[in-house]
Amino acid sequence: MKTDVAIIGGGPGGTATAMFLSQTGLRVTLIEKAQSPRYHIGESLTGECGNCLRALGLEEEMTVRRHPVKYGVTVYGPRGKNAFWVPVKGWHPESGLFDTHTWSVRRSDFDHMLFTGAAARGVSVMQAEVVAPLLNGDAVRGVRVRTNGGTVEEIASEVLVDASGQVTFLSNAGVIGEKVRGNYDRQVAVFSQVAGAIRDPGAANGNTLIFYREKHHWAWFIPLDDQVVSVGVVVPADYYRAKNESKHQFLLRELHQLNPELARRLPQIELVEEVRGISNYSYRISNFTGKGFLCVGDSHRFIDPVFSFGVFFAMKEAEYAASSIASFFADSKREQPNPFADYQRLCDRGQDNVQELIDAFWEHPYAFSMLAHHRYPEDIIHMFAGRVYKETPLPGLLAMRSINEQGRKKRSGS
Amino acid sequence: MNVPEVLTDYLSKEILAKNGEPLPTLDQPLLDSEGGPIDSLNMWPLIVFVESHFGIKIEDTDLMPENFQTLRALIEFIETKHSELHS
Repeated sequence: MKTDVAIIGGGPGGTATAMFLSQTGLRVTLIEKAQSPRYHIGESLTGECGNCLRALGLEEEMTVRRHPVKYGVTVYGPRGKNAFWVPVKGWHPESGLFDTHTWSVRRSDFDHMLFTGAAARGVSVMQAEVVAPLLNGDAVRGVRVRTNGGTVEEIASEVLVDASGQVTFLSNAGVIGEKVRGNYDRQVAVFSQVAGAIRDPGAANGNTLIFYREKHHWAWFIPLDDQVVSVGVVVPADYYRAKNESKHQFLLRELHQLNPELARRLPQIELVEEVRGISNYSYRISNFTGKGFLCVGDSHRFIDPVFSFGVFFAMKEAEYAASSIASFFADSKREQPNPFADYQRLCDRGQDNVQELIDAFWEHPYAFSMLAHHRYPEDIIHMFAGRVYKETPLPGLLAMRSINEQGRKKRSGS
Repeated sequence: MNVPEVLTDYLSKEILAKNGEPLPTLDQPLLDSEGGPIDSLNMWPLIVFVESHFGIKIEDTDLMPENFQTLRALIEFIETKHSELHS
């Protein structure tokens, strides 16, 4: 079969690309192998991610579905003190920062909403497994899929969007570069969901909480509905192995010991989901766009889960990808060597800026704290919201970059 | 200008007295990540005090642990900044 745009992956990156494109009149085919809904983590959304949902006309549906409203994030320092609060704020060129909110989501519900939403807007949805890209020299011209019934089919596309997440389909297929490991050691996340947790009072009861113990050792606390909170612990893989515990034992002990403020909020731990674990690590894949293809979200880069940028990157890059794809189809000549080079530069800028933020947080906690709370509090609000794509960097970002560079020089001994 | 005296006086009165902690020696850790009394909450008032009292500017890139990790390091840092200013 033939389609204008084929999209691999039914997560937020793929479905949002499909929904943004559905406004253009192009023929869009979304390919997902799993049955929707399916379980996933990555449940807290940034402020600008909330704006992507608004841009897709989904604000009312988010409210009707009672996804918890998030006004900000509190990060608790070691021993439960030194908490810092970063509110979700919008920004307007005339009035500056203003109060707003975003959401946290149970991913099975949220992803299913996006998936069915894409179908309702005219996107063709196909339940199939992708086998291999179809190539013509260095151009991608489609993808071969195997349907549930076992039939192999070729889908010819003008543009193939890889939104396969950490599967990194095009990288595995050798079309683009290999995964290059990032700065951080392999980490392990162990997580579940609990009932009976103590949240912040009143309207603040949907806020995300982060508990810091030490470098690369932290926990999340993300409300999923009126009763249930997602909790997870992220630690270096060596630490996890050395404990030699079952996932279940490990999670319960860590929730109790990691940070006194977290323990206070979980007086009795009643798990309402199985305990799951994944290992993750930062990686990036370069040259993730080219003739006939582009990548969105985790399919080309993953930094660190600490400040909830995962779904944000997927959806923001989806928005930029859709706009870039629409321009490609509007251009009758289509002679550029890489029609999506600008999109790639934009994605790199946003991800590089978030990398600076997260590097500064892990590597230089005192400096980060001084910059975030005292010297550049507004810039930190912008960055936590996801306003990270501006050509002119914010002073707070430049400060973090200088500190990180100084730290890197020192570590390399020069 | 007596940097050690001014600094130990500030630490004793503004930080240590509140927690009833003894004054660290010149080479004992100052930062709480190593068991010392300075954490990310009282570090900012310390910075503001040092800047105003000694008339120096602590740059963003000066906010590194090596400048704060002991009293000796902090004194040296302030004296260096101060002499740069007046040289």
